[in-house]
Amino acid sequence: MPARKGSFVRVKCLLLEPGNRKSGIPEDTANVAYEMRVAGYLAEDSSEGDQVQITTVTGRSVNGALEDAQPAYTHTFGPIDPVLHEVGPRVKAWLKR
Amino acid sequence: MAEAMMVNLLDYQDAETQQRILLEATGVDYQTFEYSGVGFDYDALMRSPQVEWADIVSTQKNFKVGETPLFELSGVTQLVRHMSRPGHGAQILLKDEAANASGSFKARRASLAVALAKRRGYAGVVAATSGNYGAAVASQAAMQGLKCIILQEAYDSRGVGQPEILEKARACEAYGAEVVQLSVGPELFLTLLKVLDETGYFSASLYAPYSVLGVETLGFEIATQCREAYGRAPDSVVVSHAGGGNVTGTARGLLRAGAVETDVIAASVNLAGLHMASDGQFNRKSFTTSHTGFAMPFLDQPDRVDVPRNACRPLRYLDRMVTVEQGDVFYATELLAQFDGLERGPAGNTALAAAIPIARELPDTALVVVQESEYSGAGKNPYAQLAFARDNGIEVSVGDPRKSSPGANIILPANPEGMTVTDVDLRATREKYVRRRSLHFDRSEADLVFLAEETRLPVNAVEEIVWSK
Repeated sequence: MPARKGSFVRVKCLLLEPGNRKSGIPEDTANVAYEMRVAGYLAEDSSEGDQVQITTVTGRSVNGALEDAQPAYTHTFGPIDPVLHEVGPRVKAWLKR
Repeated sequence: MAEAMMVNLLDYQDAETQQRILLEATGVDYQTFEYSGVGFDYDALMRSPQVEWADIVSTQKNFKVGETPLFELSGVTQLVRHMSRPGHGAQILLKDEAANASGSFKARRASLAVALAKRRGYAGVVAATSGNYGAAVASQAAMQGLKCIILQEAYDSRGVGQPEILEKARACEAYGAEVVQLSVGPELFLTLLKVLDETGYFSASLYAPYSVLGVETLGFEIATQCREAYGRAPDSVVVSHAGGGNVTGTARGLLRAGAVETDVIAASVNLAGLHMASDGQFNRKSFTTSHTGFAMPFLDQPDRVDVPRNACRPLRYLDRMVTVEQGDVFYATELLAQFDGLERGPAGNTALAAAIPIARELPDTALVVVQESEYSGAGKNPYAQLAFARDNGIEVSVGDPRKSSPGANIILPANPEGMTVTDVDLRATREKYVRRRSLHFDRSEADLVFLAEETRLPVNAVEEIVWSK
């Protein structure tokens, strides 16, 4: 997806390669990269996957791969959980016992 | 490029570099508090911000923090009394900390940190937190006109983030902060140092003295409000417990108010068996705070934090500590919503989940205060969190929560009688604390008194342990 200069995007940066992590950490963590994601205003017209520069809301310059040209908040209230949904009615019945 | 960044981040492991950055970013020279052996002058550390009590209270009032309601939870108390022996079932009260700006008690800590940063002329504040503290610092920075950067441990190596953490990132951005989202690992601290070094901003550390002083108003208000409504301080205050700041600040506030008889009880969610630095286990837990993954190591190793000496020292203040299961907390969240009409975030209900079985064993004349609540919302909600748990292979069922295995399943009780607490052996923890320090103990009176104060063990008990080494 393309992104225009000045648009608010998210980049992903490699901070530490797998195997070059801090010593003494669990093996599964040591075997994966240490990554950082930051959002900011794009310096030049680019496409997702490009190495780009952004300026964050505090004015810092950050270089990274353009991961998301249009970041969105997609977390939700979630689907109704059958186990949890029964709690209220069950306790009301329990109180009447 | 990538090569240079790698070298840079690990360079921040250097002790002198860390000391230099933290001195600049906190304005506190921690060296001045050190004794020659294992101890340090805790009281001097706590006095070091040089802010008067009246100043703390008025700063919080100015920035939309504090004076939150203390509600009687009549619905939950009715449930407790329904299952208690005759004459038992304490009145449960809730300090509704969700009423603070940004929706949690963390605003108390943030308001003071940001105010001090501003007075000392810093242009911005930085905090490392994936919890409510990030939103609190961001909200206070917005109010007080400082820039703000929040660092979160947010994603596993698949790029999957907990809904609760993603919601907190959203909240921080809503308040105008920059959010730096990191993958799993203890290099978070090195990244924090790098950002502090690069920006020259203030470190709004959760473990700095002002962060604890800001919570003292919470304990103080609880004692004051209870006296106004019931003519006496509460019998017990149950505190959701992770890093220790909530316990330490609340207990100090109660003592400041003269509530010396009140029992301070810490409650943490049992996450035994899950490694906090494991990429594979990161998303197998449904709680990102108030859990034993923080609470247990911090009890006897409090100084393994982002400042040289931790102002949060729970062993000095705790009368009792209990654990509850993840399923108990989701269950308590439902009870609070459906019997007291208060929809509040799950993690902040850890203390409530513990207070229910604790109140059941107390006389019906006793007062038990649940000392916090937090806001609820998308991602910070039991449905979102249980759906995420199921997506990560966790089974959700009804049964005995004590038989649950963190990371494998979540078991909700069948009825309120199935809610229990498990006591942590604090005496053993206190002794372990002293044993850990015996090797570096320098036989000075100052060190001996320090260890006794740290653990609340009698001096002769401390002596016995250190000499046996």
